[in-house]
Amino acid sequence: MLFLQLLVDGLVSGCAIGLVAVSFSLYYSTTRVFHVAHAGIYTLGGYLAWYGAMQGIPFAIACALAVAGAAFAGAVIQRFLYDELERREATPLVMLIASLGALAVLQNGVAMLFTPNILQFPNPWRTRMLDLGIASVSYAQVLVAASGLAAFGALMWMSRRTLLGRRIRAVASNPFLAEITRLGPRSVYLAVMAIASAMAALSGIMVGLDQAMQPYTGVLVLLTATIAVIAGGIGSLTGAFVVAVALSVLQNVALILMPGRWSIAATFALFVVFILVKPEGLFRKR
Amino acid sequence: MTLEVRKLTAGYRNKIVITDVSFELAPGSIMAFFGHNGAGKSTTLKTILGALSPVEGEVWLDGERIDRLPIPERIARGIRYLPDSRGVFPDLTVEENLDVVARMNAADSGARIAVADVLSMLPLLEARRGSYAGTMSGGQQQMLAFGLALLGSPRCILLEEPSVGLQPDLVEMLFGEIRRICAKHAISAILVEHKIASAMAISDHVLIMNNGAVVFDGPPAKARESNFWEFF
Amino acid sequence: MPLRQLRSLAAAVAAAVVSALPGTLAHAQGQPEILIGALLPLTGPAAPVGLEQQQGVQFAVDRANAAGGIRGRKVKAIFEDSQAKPDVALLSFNRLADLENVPVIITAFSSVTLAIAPLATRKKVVLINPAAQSNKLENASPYLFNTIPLVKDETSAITNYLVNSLHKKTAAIVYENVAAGIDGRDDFKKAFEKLGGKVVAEEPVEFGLTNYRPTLLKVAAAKPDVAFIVITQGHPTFVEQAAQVPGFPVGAGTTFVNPLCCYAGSAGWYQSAIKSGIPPELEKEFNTRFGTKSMGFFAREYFNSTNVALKAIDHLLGKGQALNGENLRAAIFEVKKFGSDIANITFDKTNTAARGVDIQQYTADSRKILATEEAK
Ligand SMILES: Nc1ncnc2c1ncn2[C@@H]1O[C@H](COP(=O)(O)OP(=O)(O)OP(=O)(O)O)[C@@H](O)[C@H]1O
Ligand SMILES: [Mg+2]
Repeated sequence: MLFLQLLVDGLVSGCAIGLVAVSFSLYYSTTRVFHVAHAGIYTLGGYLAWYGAMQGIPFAIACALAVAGAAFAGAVIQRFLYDELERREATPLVMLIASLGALAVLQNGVAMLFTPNILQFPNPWRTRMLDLGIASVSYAQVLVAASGLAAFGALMWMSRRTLLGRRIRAVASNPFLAEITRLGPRSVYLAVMAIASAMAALSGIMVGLDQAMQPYTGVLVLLTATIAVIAGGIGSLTGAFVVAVALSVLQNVALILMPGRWSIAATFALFVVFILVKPEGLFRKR
Repeated sequence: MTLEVRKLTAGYRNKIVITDVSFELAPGSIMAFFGHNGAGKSTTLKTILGALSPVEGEVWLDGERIDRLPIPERIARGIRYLPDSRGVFPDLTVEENLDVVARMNAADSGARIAVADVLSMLPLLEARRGSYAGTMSGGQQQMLAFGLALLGSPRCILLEEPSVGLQPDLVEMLFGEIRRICAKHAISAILVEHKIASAMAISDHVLIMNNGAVVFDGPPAKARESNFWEFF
Repeated sequence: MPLRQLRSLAAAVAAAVVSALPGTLAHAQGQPEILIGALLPLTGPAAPVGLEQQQGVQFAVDRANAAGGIRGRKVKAIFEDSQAKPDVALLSFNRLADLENVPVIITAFSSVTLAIAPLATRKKVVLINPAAQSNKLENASPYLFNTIPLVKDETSAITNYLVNSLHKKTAAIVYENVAAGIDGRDDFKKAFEKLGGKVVAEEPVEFGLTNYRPTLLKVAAAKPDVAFIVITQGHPTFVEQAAQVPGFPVGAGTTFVNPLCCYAGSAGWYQSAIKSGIPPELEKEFNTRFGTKSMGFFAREYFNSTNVALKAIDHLLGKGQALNGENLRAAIFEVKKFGSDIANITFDKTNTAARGVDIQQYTADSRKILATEEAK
């Protein structure tokens, strides 16, 4: 019973982390920029939706507006920060530092505009429980899992089946050729940033709805997500998602064997061993 | 003239590599472009493409000056560039490679060469439509890269050693295709090659460069007689 | 909020000016003022708390002066800003001790108080700590008086109640994995085991994370009689998720977990709280004076602690002794019992007050006091 409940909770949180991992991976493999400020976009999404919900806007609409707002914020970062730096041929280290700067601005901006305190969504239905027989989950948890899986599926479909998806994969695998075949790498970067930001924001909103929000928690989520991206095989979206879910389940279920203070350390230790044994990651990129 | 290069001087950062390069290319004609390693052939092509900006000189395409235009604008006007490696999108299938490039260039006025045309011209690609480009052999990838350069309405194709990695019979086949397609669609081509005999066989015109300067510009027959081969 | 702050700041400034006037008059008559120091975070992030504390001190001084001062002498409070930073506080302490020669300083925050405690010992200045509860304050200085029980004292009060009155035999501890949480865990474990209880699970939650579910599930699986909780943030989320875990035991905690109260999910849980009361007319007077809606915890404790200092000064002057830190320290132990409408405080050989601790039980929308335990 305890095991099953921990398993289900782990699967649910895994979907949220998976969304962050997949979107981070999508952006990284397309642009090769280690976009740490993604954690800030995750946070921003949650707070925007919270603000909307506090104004009495129905949750679905507040959520859509927040996702759009986060996508816009991401696009602004891309256009006015990363693009500018790349035009000046900044090194990856400079890009990383700029990203850290953007993260600080986002987190502190959110803390200043709203509050640095823990916030909860006002919607009362979010804590209602659903009995699945083997375990029970809250309505909000259902939304976390459903939105995570749906967004992941939509991304995979987009990547395989649409022109934009092909352009993204093309730009990711050969940016110079993309430039000289007029695939428009710069507009692809912008689109990828907007999509990735929207996905991170969606995850941030749903986790915020289920639990609560603080301006600075995004970084911890991104840390786990980054590990999933690396262990899943850089460039493999499926790998990032699957490993994120597995990592989350492991962190939850490990509690049965050891006290909570060890479970996070243990999963990360396992990750180090894994990387030593299989450095290319679980899912090799084609 | 399809392409006119006038007194082109260009290089990298603070190092001039080519000086005073001039030549002309008639519609449908192929120019073999020779020179020892480091002579400045790639630098010349990159300046025509727009990846490098000239210090001095001009580039004209079909009567329009293009040396100030960004790369995509030059591509839209018919410049094509086939790099000596990495000329394909490895994470896309052959079909997806062709499809994405064709669709992004479909708006060009009078796009003449479509995916189907490329597949029929290069039957080798037809057979591997569903394969991921990254999983194909070097020669197969080279064919695909050439196919990508043909899509749309090319006017002048800049080819960087297209024979690299191809087995001899495929070199002959590829060069034969280049000759045929250029003639058929009145496309000009600059062929940078180290396989001199094969390149000369399909060329109308030979340009030899030494230390960044043009040292020979004339028909293949004359080139064969000249003593410029000492540069190799 | 800024407006309110501005108003109360203006009120405090006005009060300082007004109270300075009769003081200078008294001085002119050859009766020196009684100076007391207060080292509070008047600027910086802790300023809202500091301003409330300042009001409490000023309120006590004003009332003493209105009643004719202490043995005919007017009282004046000198406020120094600590910004809640130990290094800033050291400079401010020196100003109060050396320049103003105050015999007593009212302090705020454990870190600040611990930083100035050695200096207070050396310079023989009495420190009064009205609200900080760190265990380290217990023996920081012979001149430091804590008018509030420390964390371990409060913890042992609620633990007594859990074991002796509620007969809880097994407990799980859920603690925040930071210094305060870990100390709280150790205090409870010690007190609970001393009374024969058994701790069956100790589960940390990471500071800043709001997913308590795995921890709560594990606690529930251990089936303890009670879950002792030491968290400093995320309380509503904690309750919400605890309510979603079937079989989660009744919760308990100290003042730390005050915000756990008054949700359907935490109905029936227990909490200790430092006992303090406030007569309505006194609170009304305070509100009129400072334009506030209520007299908060800090205002009360600082008001009451200032009165402790004034009462000891009165005792000392009554004996005709010189007003200095050394004599004042002795006077506090001599007076020993400081009763008031707010709290009954006793200094019995130690520098930390023995004082009542209320045991509250939550309902879905309020809290009721079940008993009062004596801390110590
Ligand atoms: N990116 C660069 N930065 C600086 N100098 C360069 C760069 N690329 C080439 N060069 C220099 O420019 C000169 C000409 O190089 P280029 O690549 O044009 O020669 P090439 O004729 O294409 O030679 P190859 O037959 O080897 O391809 C060389 O001396 C080379 O060192
Ligand atoms: Mg070259």
